[in-house]
Formats: sequence, C-alpha cells, structure tokens
Amino acid sequence: MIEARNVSVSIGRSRILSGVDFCARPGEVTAIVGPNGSGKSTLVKALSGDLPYAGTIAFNGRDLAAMRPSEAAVVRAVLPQATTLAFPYTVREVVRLGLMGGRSGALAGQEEMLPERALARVDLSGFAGRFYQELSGGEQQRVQLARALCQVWAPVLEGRPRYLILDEPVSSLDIKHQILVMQIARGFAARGGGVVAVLHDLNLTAAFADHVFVMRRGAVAAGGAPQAVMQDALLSAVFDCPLKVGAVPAASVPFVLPQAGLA
Amino acid sequence: MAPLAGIFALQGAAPEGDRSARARLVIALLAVLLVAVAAFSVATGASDASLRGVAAAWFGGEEGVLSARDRLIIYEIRLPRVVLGMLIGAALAVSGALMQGLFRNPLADPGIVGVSAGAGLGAITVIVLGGTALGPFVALFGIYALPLAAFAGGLATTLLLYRVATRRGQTSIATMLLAGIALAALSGALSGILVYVADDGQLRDLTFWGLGSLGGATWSKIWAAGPVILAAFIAVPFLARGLDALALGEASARHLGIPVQRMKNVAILSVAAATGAAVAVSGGIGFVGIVVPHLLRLVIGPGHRHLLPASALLGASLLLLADAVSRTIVAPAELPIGIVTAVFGAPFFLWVLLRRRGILDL
Repeated sequence: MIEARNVSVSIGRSRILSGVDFCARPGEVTAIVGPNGSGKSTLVKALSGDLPYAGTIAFNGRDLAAMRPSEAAVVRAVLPQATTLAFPYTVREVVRLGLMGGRSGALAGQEEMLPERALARVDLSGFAGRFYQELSGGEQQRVQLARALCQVWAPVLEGRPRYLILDEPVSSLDIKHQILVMQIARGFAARGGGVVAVLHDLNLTAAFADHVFVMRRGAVAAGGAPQAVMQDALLSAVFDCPLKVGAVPAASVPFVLPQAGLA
Repeated sequence: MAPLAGIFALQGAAPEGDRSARARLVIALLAVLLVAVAAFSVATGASDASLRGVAAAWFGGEEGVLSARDRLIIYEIRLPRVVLGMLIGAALAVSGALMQGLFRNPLADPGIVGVSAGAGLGAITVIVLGGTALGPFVALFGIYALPLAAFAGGLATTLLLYRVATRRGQTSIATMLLAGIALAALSGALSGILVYVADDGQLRDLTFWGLGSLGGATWSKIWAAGPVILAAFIAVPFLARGLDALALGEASARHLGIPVQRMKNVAILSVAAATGAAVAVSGGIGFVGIVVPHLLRLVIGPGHRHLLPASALLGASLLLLADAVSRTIVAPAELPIGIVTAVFGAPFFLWVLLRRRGILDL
C-alpha cells in the first residue's frame, strides 16, 4: 500500500498541498481528479519523491524519505506528463532504460525481450527502430509507458506489490489508446500491483478506477468508490461548473455530462 | 569499404533499434585507427628517423639499429608528443561528451561555454604568480601545480555555469551559452590583468602556452597531466548509465534509481579535471569536444556506454591528425594546433547549428 499522511507541500511562499491523507491499495487503480491547480500533480510528485514535503509517505510500510533512489526504483515506476529528449535515442533504447535497475522481475533470460513485449502492449510493435524525437506526442507518451512497464514488469516482486504512478497518462492520446492505457493499468492491478493515475476525464475515471480521490485547492475534497464520490453536487462544486451525473444501468457505472450541453 | 559493409551487415542482425553491436564494432575500428595514426605520427617528422628503425629496435633484438640521434628524436621528442596528443585529444572529447550529457544539450563544450577559459585563468595565475604570491602552492605541488590550478579554474567555472543555467533540473540552452560567454569574458579579463603584470620571462611562457600546441611535449608534462586525466577517465564507466537516464530529465533519472545529485557532482569533477589538465599542458585547443561526440552520435547513437569510450579513441586520433597537419602545413615552421582545430571545428559547429536551429528554442 502507498500511504500518505498529513502531507503538505510548499513551493516558495505558496502552499500547494495542505494536510493531504491519501492511500492506494495494491490490486486497485486509484484515480486522482480535480480542477487545474488543485494539487493533483503536486501530490503525485510528492509520492514520486520529486518534491520536499512535510508529513509521511510510505510504500508497503517503508518510509519514502528513508529510501535510496535505487530502492524506490524497485518499488515503483513513474510516468511523467511529457518527456523530451535532447539526443537521438531510438525507441528501443528509451524503453531499455527501464531495465537499468536490473529488477524488472522478468524470468531469467527474458529481459532482452521485454522492450519488444512492452512496446507491443502499448500498441507500438514495429516502432523499436524509430527515433523517439520523430514520434508524435501521444506515441512518445506510450513509449514512456512501455519504459515504466519494463521497470516494474512483475507487479509483485518477492511477495511485495509494486506500483505504477501515472501523471496524466492519457492526456495526449486518442480514444482507442486512452482505453488501451487504462486497460494496461487495470491489468497491472489485477495481477497484484497498485496504480495511481492523475486523470482529467471523469468518464474514464468512472469506468476504470476502483477508488477516486477528488482534490480541490490543495486538499482532498472526497475519496471513495466512483459510485459514492461522483455525485452532481460534489462534482459541480469542486469543478465550479454545473454537471449532471447519470449511470449506465447494467454496471451502474457513473457518467458525467455538462448541464450546459443538456439544455 | 569493407568495414562499412560489415557495419550494415551487423545492423541487419541486431534487434531493431539496438545499435550496441554496431557501436562495439565502431569502437574496435577506432582503436585500430588510433594505433595506425599513432604509428604514423611517431614515424613522420622533420628528421628521417623511421618507424621501421623503431620496430627493428623493439622487436628485432639487434642492438644499435637505431642511431643515438634517432633514438633521441623518437623517444624524447616524437613519442612524448604522440602520447600527450592522445591524452589531450581523449580528455577534450570525453569532457565534451560528459558536458553534453550533463547539460542534456549537444552544444555544451568546455571551450564554447567558458570552462577552458576558466581553466586557462587558473594556469595563467600559477605561471605569473608562481614565483611570488603562489610560491608555497607551487612548492607544495611541484609539477602538479599547473594542472591542479587549471582544474580549480575549470571546476569553478563549471559549477557557476551549472548554477546559472539550470533551474529545477532543466537547463536553458540559451542561458547556458550566454552565461558561458560572460564567464569566458570574465576569465579573459582576469587573465589579461595577470598578463599585464607578468615579467618578460613569464610572458614568453604564456605566449608558448596560450597558442595551444603539442610542440613542447615532454615526459614530465605527461607525468603532470596524465594522472589527472586518467583519474577523470576512471569515473567515466560509472557515469554512462546515469547520463543515459539523465537524458529523460532529472526526475525520471531519479525514478529509475540514479542518485542524480551525486552523479552530477562526479560528472562536473571529471569535466573540470580532464579539461583543466588538458588546458594546463597544451593551452586552448577548441572544438574537439563538440565535433567528436557529435560525429559519433550520428553513427553509434547517443548511448553513453559506447559514446564515451568511442569519444576518447576518436578524440585521440583526431588530435594526432590535427597535430600532423599543424607540423606539416607550414613546414619547417609549425602552426599552433589550436588554429587547426578551430579552422575545422568552428565551421562544423555552425553546421550543427544550421541543422538543428530549433534546438535553441528548447
């Protein structure tokens, strides 16, 4: 489990996060939603160890602040919003970087094949020889996801669950690949790992997340199952915009429409 | 053409996008090239002492094949010059590749961004003040005083540059180049003040040193600079992985398990040591650090595990070739090698800029 208690982050004089309690369980996809500037990315950066924070963050009971980078790299992989490269690496060379820690968890002798398999998973078979810099933003994002997948190929290593931390993983993708990436997240969770994803699309969140944290002004406004959290009043207040939540009867999966569009 | 055919044949066999087999082949070819260029350099010169004579003396077992005069020319003039040239060329090329990886920027080069000028200031300080204010420093470190001072100057410049140009792990290319101009100008001005107060003997030393030449190569210079350069090279294998990860950005490198701050410190120390030592013994030899890694990236890709050793080999070869040009083009006089590298290197730099003009917008 990833557990954050009373986490606060200040950048300069402004306080971006104040007293956030957060948790992400193995076996689940945990989504973080909220309007621009609500602190979603800051929370994810604190979880990734990129920002100094007050409070405690623990992975599987171990304090993040006490972990060396190499130890943290075993327990979680991080997909940033966008990654630009200064040098002409091939797609395969970028994906291989995920293997540098040597703890992918793949069976012995299979590690050499992981880049191809990870690329196939993100629907980029045949891209290994292309230059990363020449790909579209959405393709680059999927290459980086393949890299992160290589790093924590086995969702559970030596009995301990591992985590994928995804900062807006679908923001530059078309709908087919949005669904593909969310299915990858679900698959990772189904095999015992944990996923934390910052999402903007409330309908993808409702369809794929087990647990939703709604953030507002640097604090958690609500947390729970999508059915419990995604309510007209709450979402309309948090996003400061009139919203209407419905449900697809078969699975009672909520969906969200703008009220303005329904008139 | 045979080696080229080999490269392409191997390319077909390797997994798509994997250039490591090709890189290993290129490194092997570069090693052969370096041996050939070094042998050629030892064998040619104003005197007719020949390689055949040397080989006979080494392997033939017959004493006295080499005349005393040829022995002197080869062992005391040509060989130190070749060894020093290889050391300096490798040091400059590796410094360039390291800096480019550290700054995530193919235009970073110790000469262009003022690190060489800072190292030069350190060296000039020792030359001018070594007999007076810095007497105890020189007495303490002996032949190492000059490379150490150049190392300190290079280190101070690199640290300052990194401070100015990098914010939250992102390096602004424009800021880096402009800061480099300012730092080079400052080092130049301070050097100018020292030159102004220098006496005649020191001025002669400074002039010889500042032209950038391998002409004064001696074994004692090699003993002074060699250990500092080799110390920097020892760190290189430990940096390769980290620099590849750093290409993704500082945060991503940390996520992959790299202790980023420590790695950057080691890289900065290595750049300052290699550049400082090279500048201390051979003055300003520019552009090797930008030309060599750039050419190699075109052939073997930017992966540092192969780029760094390949840069050392190609840098050594290219500097020996430049030295051969500098010795022969105005024979029997000598053109300073810094002029030769600049004549080829500066247009190359412009060509890189022309091809990648967009890079300044990063």
